[in-house]
Amino acid sequence: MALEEAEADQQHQTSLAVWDLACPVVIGRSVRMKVGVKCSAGCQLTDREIEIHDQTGAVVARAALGSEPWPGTSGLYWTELDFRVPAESGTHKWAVTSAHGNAFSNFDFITVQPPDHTLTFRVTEKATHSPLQDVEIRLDAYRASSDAQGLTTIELPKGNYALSVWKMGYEHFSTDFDVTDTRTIEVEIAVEPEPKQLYWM
Amino acid sequence: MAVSRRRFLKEGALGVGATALAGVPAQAQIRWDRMADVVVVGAGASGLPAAIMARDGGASVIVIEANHDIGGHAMLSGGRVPLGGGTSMQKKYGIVDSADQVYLDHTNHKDSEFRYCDRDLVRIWANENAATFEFLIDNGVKFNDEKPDFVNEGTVPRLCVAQVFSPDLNETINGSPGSGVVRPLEKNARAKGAEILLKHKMTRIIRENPTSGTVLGITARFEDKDVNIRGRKGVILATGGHTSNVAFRRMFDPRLTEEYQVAGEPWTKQNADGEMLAMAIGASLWGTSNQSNDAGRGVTKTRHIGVRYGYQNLKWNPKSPMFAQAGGSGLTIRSFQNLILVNQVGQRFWNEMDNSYAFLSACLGTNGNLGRNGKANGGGPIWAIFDADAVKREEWDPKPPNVDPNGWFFTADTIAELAGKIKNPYQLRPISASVLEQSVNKYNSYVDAGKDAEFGKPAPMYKIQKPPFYAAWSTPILHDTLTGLKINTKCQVIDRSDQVIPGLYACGETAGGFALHGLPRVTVFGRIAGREAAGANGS
Repeated sequence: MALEEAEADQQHQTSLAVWDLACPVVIGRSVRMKVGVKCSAGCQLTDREIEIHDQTGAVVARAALGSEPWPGTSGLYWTELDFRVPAESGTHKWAVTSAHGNAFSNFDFITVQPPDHTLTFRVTEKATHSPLQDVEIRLDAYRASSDAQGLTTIELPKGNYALSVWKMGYEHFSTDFDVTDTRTIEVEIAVEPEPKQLYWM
Repeated sequence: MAVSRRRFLKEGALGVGATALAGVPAQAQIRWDRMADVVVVGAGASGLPAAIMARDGGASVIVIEANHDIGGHAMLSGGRVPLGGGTSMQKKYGIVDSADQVYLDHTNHKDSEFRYCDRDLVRIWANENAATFEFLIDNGVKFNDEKPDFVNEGTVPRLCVAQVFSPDLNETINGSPGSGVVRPLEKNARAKGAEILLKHKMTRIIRENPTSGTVLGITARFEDKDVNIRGRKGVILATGGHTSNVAFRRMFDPRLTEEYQVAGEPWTKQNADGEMLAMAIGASLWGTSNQSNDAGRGVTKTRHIGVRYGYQNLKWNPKSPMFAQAGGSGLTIRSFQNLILVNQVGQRFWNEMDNSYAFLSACLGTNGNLGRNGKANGGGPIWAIFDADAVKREEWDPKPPNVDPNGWFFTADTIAELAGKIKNPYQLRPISASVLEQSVNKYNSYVDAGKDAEFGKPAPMYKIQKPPFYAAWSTPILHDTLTGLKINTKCQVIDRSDQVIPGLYACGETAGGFALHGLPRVTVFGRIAGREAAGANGS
């Protein structure tokens, strides 16, 4: 490493972003996420290394940053990497570090027991019965978003969950829900009436 | 020949000029540059009806306006006029109403917006509802021909909406229906002979003695000179309220420090001219609890973020002649699920989905400020923090003219970098990168868990994770002036000894006692003030 590079590693204010990390993750499985690094001095960070550390500080994954900044950013060099999550279920607080700038950032994820069942959701609009895309389905920490056919699946253990169905511009729907078997669930949601124009001003 | 006091004043008014006479108050030595029976101060939705009514009553009228154009805040308003009591529009659609019902609907003790109002004023307002609606129509205001709607917890449909005056933004300023109220009134006022003097800012109310006697006229500043304008029958204050005056508004709510912007600015400022100058000659305030009541539209949640003026029902049009001063239109929020709100230290402080006054109180809270540095009041800036996914979901284009990057909107590649970029005149200290990162990480963990453990945001849906990241000004914005000068049912201003100040009238948001939002209050009392001033005996 050149001297200038080593100094930059120590001195440049650098920060990180972590995104596209699926949640929850089944215990013991591999998961993929993206990590970006930004140097305030505008350094080109291609091939610079980032590391993932577990809660003990042990390195669980390493990767080199790519050559192109993430679209829409001014200089966020990024990479995608896989790592294996712990075998214990629960919430985990890990960290990602960048040698450049001695930067680090925490990130959380939830691990869960392997699923017992698969729920398939088919979401339609109440009045027209047409499929609805990008509807958020949540069962506590389990979540998915419907595709163009209004379909999505969630794998989860049996149990009682708070089911929540939400899409911007539509009425929010929530209920208690018992997961006892693998099945398909039809969900209809209605367009939320446009709020009347406020009288204010 | 002995010169009587009244005779001297009249001669002075005719331009005889200033002559020092022993025993004659200094105010009587005014050289009057202009004169009329009635002087109206302010050419908005209260001053213009006052001017027309005074002319209809046979008085000569001069209107002064501090702005370069007429209209005041009403120019930018929604033109929504809920007047009832049996208007022609109500009758057309078979709606039965009465002045009594209007009164009852606006004095309901269960309604905290009306609970603290002066019921004598509400009663005269109710009596004049229907006549004022017809007055507006008679003076050129065109309403949409639609069945009136319910508002203000009313039991009877009363709301009618004015039509935008024209497609010309130079006439309407922002294309708002309020232009359909004030422009026709302006044209009718001028056609009926009222003279309107623009860019005249009132600097003094001239009374016979500093705190006694009749009000004789006003002094206005025009360009670099003072203009003394005599009002033989009266002076009507319709200056539009006090919300823009930080010192004045803080008399009622010390929290409302300078970071709070005002709806209607930068077109016009509600700078308390009328109230302060009237108080200087002895006037009283009235119904002051209305201004610090936890209800109504004194303080409002912003909806168009990333700009200085993000009032929820006023989105600045990039083609408006005022757009350069407004700075941006704002990103209109469809769902607060798409963002978090953080305070001046970068921490979340409340459920973003809440639209109640509790949310506003949280915004106005201490928000991490321990008050050690002499700036304990005010809640400080509130920033919306969101990511690229939110931009996509909301279908925003986070660039000018939609946002104002000059201190009201910031973009960065990471949350830590974003914290360092937030610089604004009201952001007194930088936001700590680690604090903002913690806030975002904590919120993201709530999204993962499906539950907001801190503030109970219902089913938090989306993480803030995908670059780039954004910070947008989302501080509450002030709107209504809900207290002002004490008036009686003739709109005469009352002094601190509970006596009428002869020759002085107030209406619109300059007057206190009735905390009703918007056009129905100001048009009715403007009309009353004009009529009463025209009918007064001259001084």
